[in-house]
Amino acid sequence: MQVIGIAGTAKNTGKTTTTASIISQWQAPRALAVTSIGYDGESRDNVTGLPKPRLHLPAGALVVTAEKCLGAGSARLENLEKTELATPLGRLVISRVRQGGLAVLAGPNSLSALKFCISRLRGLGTKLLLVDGALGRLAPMAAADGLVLATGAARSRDLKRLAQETGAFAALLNLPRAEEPQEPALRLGSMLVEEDGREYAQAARGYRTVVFAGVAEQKPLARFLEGLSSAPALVFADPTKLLFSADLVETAALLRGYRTRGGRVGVVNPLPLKGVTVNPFFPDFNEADYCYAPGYVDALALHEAVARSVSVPVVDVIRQGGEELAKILDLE
Amino acid sequence: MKPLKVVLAPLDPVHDIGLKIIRQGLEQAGHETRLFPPDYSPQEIVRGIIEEGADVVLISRTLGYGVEEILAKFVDLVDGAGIRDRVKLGVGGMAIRPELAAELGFDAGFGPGTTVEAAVAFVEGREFIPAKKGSQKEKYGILGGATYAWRDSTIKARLDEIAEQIIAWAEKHGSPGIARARLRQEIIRRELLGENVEDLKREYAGLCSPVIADSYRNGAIHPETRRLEQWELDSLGEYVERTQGRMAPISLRSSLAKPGVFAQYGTGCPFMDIAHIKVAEAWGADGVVHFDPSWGARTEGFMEGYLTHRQDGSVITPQNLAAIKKALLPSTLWQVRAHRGLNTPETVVLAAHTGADLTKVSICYGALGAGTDPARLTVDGVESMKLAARHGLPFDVVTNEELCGVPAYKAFAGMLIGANLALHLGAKPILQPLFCYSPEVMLSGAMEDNYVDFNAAKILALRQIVDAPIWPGAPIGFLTQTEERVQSSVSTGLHAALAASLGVEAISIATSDEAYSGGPIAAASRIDTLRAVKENFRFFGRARIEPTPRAREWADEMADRIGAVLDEVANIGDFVQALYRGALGTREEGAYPGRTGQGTVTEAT
Repeated sequence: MQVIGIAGTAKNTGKTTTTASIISQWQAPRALAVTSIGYDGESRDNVTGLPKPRLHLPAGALVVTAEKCLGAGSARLENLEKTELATPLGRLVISRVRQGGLAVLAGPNSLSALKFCISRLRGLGTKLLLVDGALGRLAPMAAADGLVLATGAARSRDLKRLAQETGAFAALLNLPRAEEPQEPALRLGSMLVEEDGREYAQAARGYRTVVFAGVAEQKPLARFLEGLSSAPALVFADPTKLLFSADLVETAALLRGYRTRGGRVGVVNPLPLKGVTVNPFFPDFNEADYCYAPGYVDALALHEAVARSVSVPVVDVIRQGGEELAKILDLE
Repeated sequence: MKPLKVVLAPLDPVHDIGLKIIRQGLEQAGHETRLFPPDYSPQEIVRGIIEEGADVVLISRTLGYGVEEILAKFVDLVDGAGIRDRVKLGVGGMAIRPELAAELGFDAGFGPGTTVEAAVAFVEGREFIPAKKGSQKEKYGILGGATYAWRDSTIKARLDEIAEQIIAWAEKHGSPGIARARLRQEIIRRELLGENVEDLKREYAGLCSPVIADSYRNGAIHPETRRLEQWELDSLGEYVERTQGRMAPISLRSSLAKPGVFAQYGTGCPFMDIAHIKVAEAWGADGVVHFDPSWGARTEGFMEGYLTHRQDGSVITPQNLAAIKKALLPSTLWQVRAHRGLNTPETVVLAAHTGADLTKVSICYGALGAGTDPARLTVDGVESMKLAARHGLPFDVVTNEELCGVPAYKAFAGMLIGANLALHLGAKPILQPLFCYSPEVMLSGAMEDNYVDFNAAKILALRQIVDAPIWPGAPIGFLTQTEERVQSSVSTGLHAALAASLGVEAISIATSDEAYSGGPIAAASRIDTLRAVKENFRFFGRARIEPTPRAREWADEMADRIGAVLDEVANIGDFVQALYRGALGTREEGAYPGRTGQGTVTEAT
């Protein structure tokens, strides 16, 4: 079973369009499962008021969503299992789509909840599970086998900056796999504030490997690297642990510099970036009438800028269709 | 249960009062709490959670630009730090909804109005079942403790003379309206026994205007109407069930015992009416008032079936009323107005049999301001009052002729005639003076400084005459509202506060767009004024609005002039003639004796 997470760098970058596009390319609905780590169901964005795409699920597919969302879409669902996993919209239910239609998804919103759902879906014959993202959330995506990143002008209209950011994101996601160290290693939790970084650097003296179970924020990471007296191998649980900083470009640069200086950096559970989708759309705020209207950057320029910054395929789903994505994910 | 460690973190630059209140509740429940300062970053909060070994974290944050991302990042950090499985996360604040909490990755979301009990239940992992306010809400007692004792014996003596004259006159007369009311009672009785009523309906059709008679004879319905289709009725049933399942009606009165608050509906469509009723009930109205179309008052007889039409006012049919009654909460008072037209007695019959709590009978307004022949409405009015008395149906007597330009004291004289007549016939009348910016005060300048004194004077004047329930309307603040929703809501709210301050039994309120909507009323504007009333009741509570001394002076003046009008009516010795002669409002003042139904009064058989 392949679990693909679709994460966005911001609202309106095209997560749901990307997910819908993959669904449309998948030929065996009964082996497909779909869920979301957030809530996806409004027909209009609740900030901009602009229309939002909604997910149309084919008959036969499995879906994991919260109790209160079960009757909210037009798809007819048959409930297979009510789990013990609670959400603000009720407990999660695994259902089979009996009659295709629109679905409202509010699925597992933590890493462990997603892992639980994956285990249940595996037992139901699922070959592909699509996990729709929520806002910029990434932590639960660590349970996926690979990630598709949706980015675009809604994140930034500065294409150079957007390309840099996407490149940094890709570099951090594609950190090499590291084996669990055999030798004595320093095992640490999260580096959340700068004081953590300085403290951990002191603690790392004499160790050849430092293993982080938790999050590493950019500023404490910088203090940590500055404070190191040697260059131990740095092992992170998974790449999402490095992706929570506001400045990913700086985080990626710090680790690149460390590696250049001979340090090794790896992750125990890789989350390979499979591809990037780009969306030229952005909600354009008009100060004259205080309304949002659809705005677009140059789609080709956006595609080129992002493609230059990453080594994985880049697809404009609206312009190129879903076939490209299908190839990337090897859906045939 | 074992005490839990709860971290309360205002992820907010300033506000933490909500968390402080919840903290108190949690500590009273025996839990250990730690309130973080308002300026912690998400990273610092996560670090604090780890250090404290918290079981539950409650975040407070008002939504604004970019805040969703901050909250999502906080949840991601908790998950990424590996503590998500042992920490329950709740978020509360303005604009937080369960859908948003789900999107952000929290376990629960608490919006405005969240109770401490709900937060404690979440912390303790219990399902919070809020008390079903709707089922606890009881019907408001609109009659209050009124004794109907007359405090002004001179006025009372005059009113008695007039009442006796009216009753004696009415005994000698009849009308097609009275005949139909009697037939309708017989139809209802025989239908309940499962008997065939075709003969009665044929007879009934013979007493109707041609357009109504046609509906019985040929099945043709009034051109302004159409029948609701079965699928519409089915979806209406589903709508009511679904909506009532979600409703937790509130009370508007805060610490006050009165007044009860009535909302008016009459969209033309029973389905839309019910939607409006549900909104009114949910936002705290104690009662609703059915408005029928003005053409209905000028047409003899009622059609049957579920009928809708695209005009103001909803068509009265036995089926329409039954559908509306079925949709009401048990606690909702329901008034079906009978007051002004050719179907007044029959409306009382239908209202009583459908389960209405109140009706409305107003001879003077109907005859002087609503176009019905004075003689016809007098004879029908007496019959209606008898029917209301027989069915235990209290009714209000309105003074809407004030809106035509009739001075308040004349309108009040007419209202008191109606009320005393009702008492003679064994009924329970409610006085309905207007709280309005009437033509009279526009010309006199009595409201140039404030809206308080003249309205207060009306209540004081009535109170010095009789101890009867008073229900200002209809709606309060009439002609003070404009096309601005905020202005209209504030005006309605303040008039409601004045009514509460004066201790009246009930009020009827408009929506914030009612006077100027130019078409359908929006549900949102109904909520505007209900909220405005609630807020005013909350603001003033039992504190009083103090009128200036002018109110008392005007009240005394008004009572004197009411007495003079009643003298004149009594001296004429014929109430119907008094209406024609302008004793209760002249043509110059805007009171025109109506012509609808002229010549239809018959000698009693």
